Amino acid sequence: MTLSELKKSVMDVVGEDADSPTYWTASTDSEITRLIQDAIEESCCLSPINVEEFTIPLYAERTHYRLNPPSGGLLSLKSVRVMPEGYSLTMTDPTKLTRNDYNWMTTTGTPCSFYMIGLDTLRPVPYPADSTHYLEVIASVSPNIPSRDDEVIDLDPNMSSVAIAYASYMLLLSMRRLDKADFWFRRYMELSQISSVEGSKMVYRPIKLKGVVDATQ
Amino acid sequence: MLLSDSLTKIRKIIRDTNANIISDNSLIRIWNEVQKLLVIQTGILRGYISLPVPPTTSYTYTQSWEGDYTGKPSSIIYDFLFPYTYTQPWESSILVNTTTSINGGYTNSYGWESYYVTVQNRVRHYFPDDFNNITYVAYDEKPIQTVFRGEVERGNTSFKSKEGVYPSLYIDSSSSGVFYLYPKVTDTLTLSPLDSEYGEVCYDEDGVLDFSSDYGVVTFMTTEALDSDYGVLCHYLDTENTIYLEYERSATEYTESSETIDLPEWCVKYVECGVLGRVFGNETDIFDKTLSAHFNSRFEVGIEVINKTMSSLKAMRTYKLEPSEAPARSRRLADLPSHYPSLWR
Repeated sequence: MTLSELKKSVMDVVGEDADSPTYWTASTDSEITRLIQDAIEESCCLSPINVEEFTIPLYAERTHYRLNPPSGGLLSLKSVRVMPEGYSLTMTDPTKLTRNDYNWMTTTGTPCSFYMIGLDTLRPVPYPADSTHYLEVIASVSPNIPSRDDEVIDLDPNMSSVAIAYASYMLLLSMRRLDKADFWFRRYMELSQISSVEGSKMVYRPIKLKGVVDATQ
Repeated sequence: MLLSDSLTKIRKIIRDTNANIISDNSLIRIWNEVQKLLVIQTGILRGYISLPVPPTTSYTYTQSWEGDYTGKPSSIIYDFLFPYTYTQPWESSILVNTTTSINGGYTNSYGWESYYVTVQNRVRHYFPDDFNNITYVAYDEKPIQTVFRGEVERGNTSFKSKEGVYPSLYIDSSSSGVFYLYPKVTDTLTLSPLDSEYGEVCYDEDGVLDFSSDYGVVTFMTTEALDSDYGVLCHYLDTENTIYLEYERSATEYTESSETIDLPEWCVKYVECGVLGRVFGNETDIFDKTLSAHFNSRFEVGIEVINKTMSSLKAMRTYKLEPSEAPARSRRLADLPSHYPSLWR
């Protein structure tokens, strides 16, 4: 599904003529694009479906490495391997490293474990003594939506329904059509992994959006 | 992502693109407040830094009002209830006439002074300006622990001047941004003796200062002529003989919409939800209680999503925490030779 088709689906929901839009034209539909991006990002946070592989060169004596996936923000790590040997690094943390080896900060060699500082900095342990290795990282990332309308959004097919529901809900809410916005919001919650079922870890409080009744109802 | 992009999106949702209801400055203020709340509740921003030992200082002051005209204070001399300021602890006793004379000692105003003389007061170190909480700390490339006042003071009347080689990090007050190394570390650097040739302080590891290759903190010469060999001195720090700190940091506070947002892009929408919750709850023409509650609820869920994402980054750990309940006792007996007597058959 292309970005243009997604936008048209959203326009159909909010009552715009998708083929000859009067308001959501090319100069104003960036809002729809941003809302679609938000929905996809949130879905990727909840179920890591957008996986990307990238490499990071290791340099002699350097201890910290910034992870910058080409397409978007890093969400979770699936696998980190040191190449060319190809074995996986185990994730650890400073507490465990200290228990195992008090001098872990000064040990050099081919990395065999790592830990993360925040969301985007990786520290291999031991840190490399030479510049002959690189890391192959497989991670779940939040994708960047293409900016051109004719580009295909290459994601899970369910993602398009999630994106349409979310963008529709936000646009209807901004137009103060709150009953309809409420409907599409609940649909978005059902399609994504955010549920209003009691006992679910993430629960939206069941707040009924009250506003001016839509004249067409 | 620019802050202006986020503000534009918020304005389109509240239908106030011309800033008739809420000004940009108000929106930015709310944005900063919500962002701070999100960062504190999730600890999403982390930093790491090497802090010099002894601590470098740029200036100090004796009167507390001077702090309003300076940046971050480097050292605070005692300032008590009187209009006077004093540097020696015994001076306050003289002022209140509890005694006529007391033999004092040295006190330091700059951290490095404590490494030349034994000072009465402790050497203050400062956390970075954006510091929130410690996650890991090391000194001289070895992990150190954090200690608290109770552990330090218990039966230890000279804890302020105690010296040693393997310190712990002692935080007197979590809100002060100040910490100490306890015991004080003094025997780490070979310091060159001060003489008229040196302005501030310089140090060299082998005790011989060579200006063609040795640069410490800041050096300047009263007699040596500056030439093309001298430029801007950079303070290079590695982790040897320094404090290495990993910490949760606070986010940048923005003043202009043209600034770049510090947070990961996928977190920005949760801040926007928090801002919308505040905006719809403000006393304006767009006040709407249900919309405010709705977006506040989305902000709270966003915090859960961020915490879930951060915990998933630790999901690759190869060890796991033990359950709280005691492990079931195995009834299997030890593998001892059969002629050994068994005590619990």
